[in-house]
Amino acid sequence: MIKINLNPKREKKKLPSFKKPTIGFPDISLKNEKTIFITVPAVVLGGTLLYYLYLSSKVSSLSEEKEKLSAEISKYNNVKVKIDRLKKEIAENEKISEKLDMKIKTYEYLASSQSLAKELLRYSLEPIPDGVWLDNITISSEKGNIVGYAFDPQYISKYYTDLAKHYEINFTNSESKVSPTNLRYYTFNFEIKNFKLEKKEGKM
Amino acid sequence: MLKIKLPEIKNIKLPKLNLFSKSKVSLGIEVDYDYCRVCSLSLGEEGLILPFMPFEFDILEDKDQSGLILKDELSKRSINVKTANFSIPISSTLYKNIKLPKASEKELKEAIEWNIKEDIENLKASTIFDYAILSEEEDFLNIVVVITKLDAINRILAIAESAGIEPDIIDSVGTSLVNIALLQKDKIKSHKEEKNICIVHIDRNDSFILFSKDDIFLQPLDFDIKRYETLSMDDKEQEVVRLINEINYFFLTINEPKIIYTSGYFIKFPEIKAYMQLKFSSRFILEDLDPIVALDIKYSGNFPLQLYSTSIFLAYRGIEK
Repeated sequence: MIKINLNPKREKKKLPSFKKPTIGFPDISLKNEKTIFITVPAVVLGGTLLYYLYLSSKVSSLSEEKEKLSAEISKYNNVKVKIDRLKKEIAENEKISEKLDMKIKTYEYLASSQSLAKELLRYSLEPIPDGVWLDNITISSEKGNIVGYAFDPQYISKYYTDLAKHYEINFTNSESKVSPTNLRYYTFNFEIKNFKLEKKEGKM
Repeated sequence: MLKIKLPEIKNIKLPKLNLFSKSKVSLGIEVDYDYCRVCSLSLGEEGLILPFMPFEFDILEDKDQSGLILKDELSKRSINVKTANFSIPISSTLYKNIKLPKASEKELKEAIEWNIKEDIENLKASTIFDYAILSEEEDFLNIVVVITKLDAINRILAIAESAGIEPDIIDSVGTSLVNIALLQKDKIKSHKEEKNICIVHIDRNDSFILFSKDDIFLQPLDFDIKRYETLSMDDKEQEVVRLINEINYFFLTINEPKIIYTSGYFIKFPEIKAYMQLKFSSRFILEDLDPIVALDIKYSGNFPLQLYSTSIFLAYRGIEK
């Protein structure tokens, strides 16, 4: 191949050498033939012996290391068993802790529902003015029903106004009645829902 | 006590290192006065392949702008290279054949410098040259010297610098084509006996005959492919007849080869080769100079690559290095 490179930064051209070739081996003549026949096998033998010794020492050091490693493996196996047992214990304790958490949450829920019931009753009963008597009250966290009567409709109106601060009220029914002793009284029925806890109770 | 079976030394398999299995990639860029042709070759386990299709684009007179166009064309194709091999246009090179006695490298260089002294003086400019030994004859060497003006090299260096590429080899188009022909000759049984290499190359700016035995001769041809394209059928025939006459004239003084390699735009205008073969009859066998055959590239596409012989060979030099 014709290799031309006109790049000024090119590598230096390597030309084939046209000088007489010389061989770098030692001159083998009758004079040193004897020495070669003795020294070459001796060097080979010596080298082989050294290599054999090196290999034996390597084998013994490797077998020692093998025994050491076996001992270490058995030691670490015991540790592994212990670690497994501890892992089991940790898993069991975690289960117990979870159960306890569930119980605590249940109690908290019950306590909160108790305080809600108290609040519902308080805000339903406290606003009852004089002159109003309740006949029946059914109440839950979502809705309720209050049935009662009064001698004057204005008492019912006052009760309605005060109760409306905490509930949405559906005033379903009011009737004027006369008792056997000739007393005029009024019945009422409030359907209540959407309880709201006011921060300021106003006039109450 | 737990007994552990350790693996025997002979059964231990060392992991294979794949540090050297990465394929070698090289880029070749043929730079002419108004165009560039770019090609890349990759050497993997399966042999030489083209990582992307070779491409040609126009460049400008401004060296920096041309470098930026080259950079843009490469980045468009996601080609990231640090180094590439370049070629200088055929019209920027002078081939000088010298026969010198065998000598040391220093003596040989001095003898070459003395022999080309007159040619350099005629060029009246700073020059740069390189040489290659083509053959040996007993105590003599047949040497080809490629001489070019320093300006032509500096233009390549400036384009490469602007494109952010470090130029490695800067070859001449002529020697690249002769190398392709030499490699192709060795690949085909019937061509092996041919002692002379003859290439007729037609291209955008320069058309020429290259002849090589123990030397390299370059003979420019008066054949303008741009003009040929515009001619009528009859005029085209006349133009090819004129080309044949020029080739005939060239072989008046030189031993005729049996094979003439056709290169460059012959692939785009197959009628030129067909008409030439008809006229030459059995005197010459016209063969396409094909880098795929010459370099044994694993390529089965239909896109003709004969136009890219120089850039493909430049890439090959990067692989072969």
